[in-house]
Amino acid sequence: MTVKQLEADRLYQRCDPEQFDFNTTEEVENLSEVIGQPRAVDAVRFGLGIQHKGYNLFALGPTGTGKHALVQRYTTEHAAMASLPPDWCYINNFQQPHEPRALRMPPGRGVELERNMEQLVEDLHHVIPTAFESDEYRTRTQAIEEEHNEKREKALQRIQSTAEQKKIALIQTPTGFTLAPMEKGEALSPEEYEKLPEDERKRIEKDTEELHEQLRQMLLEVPNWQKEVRNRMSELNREIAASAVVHLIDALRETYRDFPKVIKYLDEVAQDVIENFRHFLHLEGEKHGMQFPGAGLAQDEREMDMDMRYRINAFMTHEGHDGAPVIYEDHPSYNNLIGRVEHRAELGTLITDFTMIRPGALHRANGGYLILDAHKVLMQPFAWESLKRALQAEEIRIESLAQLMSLISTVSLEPEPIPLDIKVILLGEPYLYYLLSNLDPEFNELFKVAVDFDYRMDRSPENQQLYARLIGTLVRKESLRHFDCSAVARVIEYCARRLEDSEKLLIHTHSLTDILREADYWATQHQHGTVTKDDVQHAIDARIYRVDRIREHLQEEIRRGTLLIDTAGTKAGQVNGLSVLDLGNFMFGRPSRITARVRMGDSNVVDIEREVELGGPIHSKGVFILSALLGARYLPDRPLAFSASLVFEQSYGEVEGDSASAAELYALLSALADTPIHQSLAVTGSVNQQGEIQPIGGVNEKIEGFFDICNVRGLTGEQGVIIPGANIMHLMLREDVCKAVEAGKFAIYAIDTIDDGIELLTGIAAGERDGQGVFPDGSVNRRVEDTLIRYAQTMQAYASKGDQGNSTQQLVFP
Amino acid sequence: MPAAEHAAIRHIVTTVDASETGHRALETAVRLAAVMGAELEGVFVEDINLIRMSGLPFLREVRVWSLAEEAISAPRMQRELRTLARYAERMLAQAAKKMGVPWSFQVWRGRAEATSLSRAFSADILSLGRVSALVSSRAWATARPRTRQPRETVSSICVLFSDSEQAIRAVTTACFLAKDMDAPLNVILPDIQADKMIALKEKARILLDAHEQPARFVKITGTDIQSLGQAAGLSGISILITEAEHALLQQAGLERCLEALFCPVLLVR
Repeated sequence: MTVKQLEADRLYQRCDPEQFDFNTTEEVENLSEVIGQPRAVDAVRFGLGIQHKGYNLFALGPTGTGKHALVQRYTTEHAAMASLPPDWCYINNFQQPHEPRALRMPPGRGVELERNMEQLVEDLHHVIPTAFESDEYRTRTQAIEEEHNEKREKALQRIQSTAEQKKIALIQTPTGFTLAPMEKGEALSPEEYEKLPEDERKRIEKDTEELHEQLRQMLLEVPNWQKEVRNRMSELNREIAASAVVHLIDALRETYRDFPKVIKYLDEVAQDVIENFRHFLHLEGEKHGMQFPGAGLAQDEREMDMDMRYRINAFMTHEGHDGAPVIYEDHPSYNNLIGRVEHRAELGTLITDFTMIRPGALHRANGGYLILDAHKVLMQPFAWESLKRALQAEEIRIESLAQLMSLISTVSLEPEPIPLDIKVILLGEPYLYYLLSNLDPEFNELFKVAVDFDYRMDRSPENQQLYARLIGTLVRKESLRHFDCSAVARVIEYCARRLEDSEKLLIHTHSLTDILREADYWATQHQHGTVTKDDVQHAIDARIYRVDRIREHLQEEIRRGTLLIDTAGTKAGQVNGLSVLDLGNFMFGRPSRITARVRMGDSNVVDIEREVELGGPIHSKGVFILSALLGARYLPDRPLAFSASLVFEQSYGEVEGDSASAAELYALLSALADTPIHQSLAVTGSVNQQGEIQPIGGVNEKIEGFFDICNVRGLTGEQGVIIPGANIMHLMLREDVCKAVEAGKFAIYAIDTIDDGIELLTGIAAGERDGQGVFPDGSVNRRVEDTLIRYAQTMQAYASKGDQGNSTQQLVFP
Repeated sequence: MPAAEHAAIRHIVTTVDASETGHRALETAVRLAAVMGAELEGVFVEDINLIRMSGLPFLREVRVWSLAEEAISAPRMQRELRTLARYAERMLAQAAKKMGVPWSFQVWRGRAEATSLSRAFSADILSLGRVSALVSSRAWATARPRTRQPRETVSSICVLFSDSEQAIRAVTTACFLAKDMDAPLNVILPDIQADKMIALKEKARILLDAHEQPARFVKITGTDIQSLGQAAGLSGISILITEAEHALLQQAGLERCLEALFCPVLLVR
């Protein structure tokens, strides 16, 4: 038997303030490195350093363990040594305006190009009108018109002269021309014409017909002449426009002579300006109606629309920055990640152009690092898929969600994708990482580096020193009062208790910061210049007080006898089990009466909680294990002939976990052996099929829960709690419990096997099989086995009587 | 400016038609009426010849753009002339309303000659565009190539000056117009003896100074239209303002002037 009755010093690992070489945290240096995360630091360094595709990072760990801060810090350090990424611009695609082209420029040159193009447009607005208002242009256009006019005039004059000779006049009608005979400057009326001699009339008609044909031929030529004039005017316009544009463009060509794509773009701009020179001439609209596209817009707005063609959308620039970008996107929606094309409403329609393309986080971080919260990414529709697509394709393609889902069929912009060179770091809870790793086949290909954050570290003397520095760093960061060394020690103890491990320290900075803030508050209330141990304790107590209403009610009900818990006497088939209620941010222990009833039966242990679907699977597992243990331990070569039922009395909620399986087994053994159990003891522990007691969670709360009940009723010195031996290291009990133990009024026993607990609970030895495999007389195990044998024999007898076929024979119960 | 010279201009008559010079004549008349606070009367000229010749059995009309041909009947001709007249009235109404000028309109049927028109109306100023239906060398003035050129501005306003009351009023009218249109003003002086020229020029200068209107003085060296064109120089003439009985008009003929100059002519009485 390996029962240990624990001394008080085993129940709480104190942190000695004397180990610290400071009086207050004011004397303590700030912590420059991250503590307790060597694995994570190593992974971050590796992940940031390796440059192959797919080595993005997933920082997994509970919230509050400093994932973001650590990742941000190392990423920033790494980025500072990297070179600035290029600028990216979107430019108009003159051939296909709905497919804007991307232009890569060295850092800072994108904005420069944008400014230069704005200046170019402004200059064009001066230069082109000047060219078209020049004497040269006016003269040359007039010359072309005059030439054309002369041609027409000569043609008309020829007809006119010929007509005049024949006393016929060419007259303009409302819609055309006609030829009419004249006399003394007036056209002949039909009456006058009829009075003419016939041969004169014939002559007139013949001449009119000939002239008419000449006129028709001439009119047929007019459109050709006009077309020729238009062509020549167009040529002239192009020539004049080109002369105005070329020297401005040449200046820019010289500036960007090392950038072939820019040169090509400038050539296109020049060509387009020449084709659309009219835009720069500030022409008024037609007086007879709306003629311009976008009619209804002010002249200024139409000019802006045209000027836009030559603008540069300096989409992503890094002017004034150093090193590679490190971007944290707090709201990683699809658009915020990938970018979007904005629209504006105009005359009832939505219009857009390449100047309205906006970058997303991937663009801003391109060439650098992007930090995202994994949960937020997964919660945003299409964000996760789009992120993966971008990483897979190594390019950023901006598509509207509506287009992606084929909700709209109107043509929108399809900007040229931009090559993506990025390292993405996702921050998330471990379960997210494991879910994605198991269920998303692409995840493991794209996020090969797991940065695993621990939530605890060893409570070594060196680490306690570091922890003190961490406290000092947080105190300064939060602008709190400084903590004296006793307060620091108390905080350390509290963090160990939070972790339920006396040998570990919690490195959940959020939790640590919270307690520091609250202690600081109480120090203020108490008008302390520095935070003391009492302030820390007050903060801890106040925190518990704020949330322990339910515990208080439960204990009151136990005290009042509404909830039946015995803390004295003995009873067979009944034991005090211990459970914890987890209210999210507060956990407390609650004693529960566990009872077992047994009878002859067909070898099933009924877990009543499971039968009514109040028992969770782990709880059921525990019951199955103890059932199996029973079968294997007693009468392994005979059928078991008992039925038993186990229940948590007065429990009306779900029961989960196997930490009560040892208590359940004790209740069962007690019932089978008909041996009472001391009700002054409570038991917690999980049992395996070998009869070993396994550690459980919440050991401190469970002990304190039973202690509180015993304390209220008055400690007798016989009360105590039996816990698994493996849980000793987790003990960080309250001071009153430790004092009670020290005073001998309460006891904590640690056991390793089921047999260890039997004698404690019953006062009778468990018993071990001798060489013949028989338990000693009077031992608990012997009693259990005897009961099981008796049940088996009785069952066998009943079965035999049944085989004899005497169906009328009545069964006689002993 | 002496009040008498301004106050006397109360009635302006302008021809109204769809030709380019017709548009410019209308615009000029409207501006002038607005500046001088005068009434504007628009006149659409229905050429009697068009009515007379309608009905000739062999006559055919060739349309300018479609080249379609159709016999000319009097009813159709009258209908088309009425349509043109309505269009002309609308143009007048729009232009006058825009400038806030009181207006009236009439259709005048007669010989489409500027001289006849000049005698038919006793307005203070008569603004003439194209009048004759006889095809002139500028028949396609409205059909010029639609190349987009810089907006046409008034290149220059020319006023023929002589030693007469109407000439003084012509110069006054020219000053108002030049100021309103922000156009350069050329004062054309006749070919006379030097001393008379100096006196005439001085007289003109006094008038111009009274209106604070700068001008260029140009001496004409003949009495034909070519001389007038040469005097105007490279800038050409956008509007010609003259007394109705100016020697040059008498010599060259009003119709010839209208055809050759291809600009509105304002006759000041």
